[in-house]
Amino acid sequence: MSRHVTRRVVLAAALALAVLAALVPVGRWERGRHVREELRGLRELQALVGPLGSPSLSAYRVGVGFGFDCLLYRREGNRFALELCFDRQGRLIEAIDRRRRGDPRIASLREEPSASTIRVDRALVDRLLRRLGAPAP
Amino acid sequence: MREQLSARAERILPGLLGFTVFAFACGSSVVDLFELVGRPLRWASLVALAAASVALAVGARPPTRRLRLAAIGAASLVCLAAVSAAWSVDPRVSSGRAGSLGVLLLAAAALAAGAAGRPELIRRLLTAILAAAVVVAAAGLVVLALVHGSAVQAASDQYGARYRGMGQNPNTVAALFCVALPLAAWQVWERRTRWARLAALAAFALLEGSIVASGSRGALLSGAVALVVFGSLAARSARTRGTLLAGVAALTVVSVGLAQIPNAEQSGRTAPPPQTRNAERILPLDREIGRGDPSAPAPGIKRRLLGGSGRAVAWRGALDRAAERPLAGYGFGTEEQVFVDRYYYFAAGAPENSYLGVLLQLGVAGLACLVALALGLLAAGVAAARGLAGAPRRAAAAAAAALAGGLALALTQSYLVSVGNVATASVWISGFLALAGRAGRTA
Repeated sequence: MSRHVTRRVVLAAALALAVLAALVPVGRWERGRHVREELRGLRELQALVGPLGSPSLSAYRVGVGFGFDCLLYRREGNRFALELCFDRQGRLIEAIDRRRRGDPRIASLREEPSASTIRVDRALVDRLLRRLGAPAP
Repeated sequence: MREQLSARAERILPGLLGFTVFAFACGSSVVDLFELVGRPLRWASLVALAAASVALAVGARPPTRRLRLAAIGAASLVCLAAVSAAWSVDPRVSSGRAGSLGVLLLAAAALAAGAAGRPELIRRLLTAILAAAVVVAAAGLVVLALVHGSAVQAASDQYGARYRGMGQNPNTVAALFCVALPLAAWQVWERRTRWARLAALAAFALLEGSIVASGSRGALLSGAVALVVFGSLAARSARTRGTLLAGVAALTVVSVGLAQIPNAEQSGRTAPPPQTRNAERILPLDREIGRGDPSAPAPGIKRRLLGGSGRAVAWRGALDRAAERPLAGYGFGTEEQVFVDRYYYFAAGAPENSYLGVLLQLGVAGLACLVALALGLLAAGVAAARGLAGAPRRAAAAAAAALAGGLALALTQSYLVSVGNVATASVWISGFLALAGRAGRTA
């Protein structure tokens, strides 16, 4: 390989390494921003639901996705209008707003549940699931 | 010493390559025994293949400029995949998957470097891929004869009954057959004795027939794309080319006609009792979007040749997810964790589009790397085939066509960078072998 070609290869490799190095902070920044946005959506929907044991609690899911359990709340005749899903540690990892039929608004960290900083009392979730007649997990 | 090692590698490589392709098919098999043996064996054979390929390349002449560029493109993709562990939603998965992609692309590039300018070795390597695909297809028939229920996926309210042979689902092995189809067509062309040509024809019919029976529309159309590329490149006269392309068109029309896509079973499901509090029984999370009124009976699903799979809606959903982390994505190998199937008319754990899958995993940066590598490899393969004549030209055309079929299939299946998939190794190795027709400069 000539010296000219070798120099070009080294330059190209250096450029590629620089691009890769620059992508690390970009990727981490994107991740942080995404997690913050999803957490904001989760908090908004949690606030819309109010207390987990509110009288509007109407349905449940157990063991869906990667093994999380959900509580669903009624709004204006829609039994499934609001939904909150928790993992076994009590972290809120997914919330769905179905008040606009056919176009659900979803906030979710199901790909990375450990990123959720919103926790509830998991024992309370289990009690509410039992009250709704859900099978034991 | 180096020459001895290289000669030994040359002797074992065709068999090892065929075995590796077969092991990957076993690793994704519906037959428990095959899967049990194939899962560990496929990684061991891939590592052995890479080691033997490097041994072959060490004794070879310096690679051509095209091959060097392709290797740089492959290395960039692998490095990006590895670095993505720094921001991945699952760093362990990202590192592991990047490692396996690196081993595969190393094997492919080293094989091409070692086989450069050696038409007989290239012929044996491509024939090995074809032979493995034929063995997989024949094994499917054996499974059909012995355990009919395993070889045919039962009808559901999503799909009608479909043939899957020894694969986990009807699309699994059909992907491999689609990539092997131009290799079978090449063998039909090359064989000179009547019996050899008949055997090649039988192999071609077995592969095409298995694709038709699987009802895999992506594999059917991508196989046609691969054959068109092969015909266009292999034939030097316009007349031969026209005859070949007309033949491909006729074959595609007949195949589409035969592949009557069985309709899903009508679920006949009435609305579930309104008193149930289990929301999953009324509005399953994985079939919510597009379902319509949950209190009404579930709508029927009708699949057509182009459409009806629900992919368009799922792709929009995947694009929305990708837009949340657009530049660098969620991390290599996390496609199935990140993509959530919430779509009534769609049934898969991935968006079933390799390019969208890479966009999810590695963002725009990764998609740019993949497209540059794939199109660069294809363009270089086409140019390499055009620069050759006779049998080497046809072999390069078959290899480039296998890559073209694989890239077309990637539009409807998520597999191109998932090394564990049945077809992935065959696509990349064929693509790199397309560049090997010409020898590098002497050192």
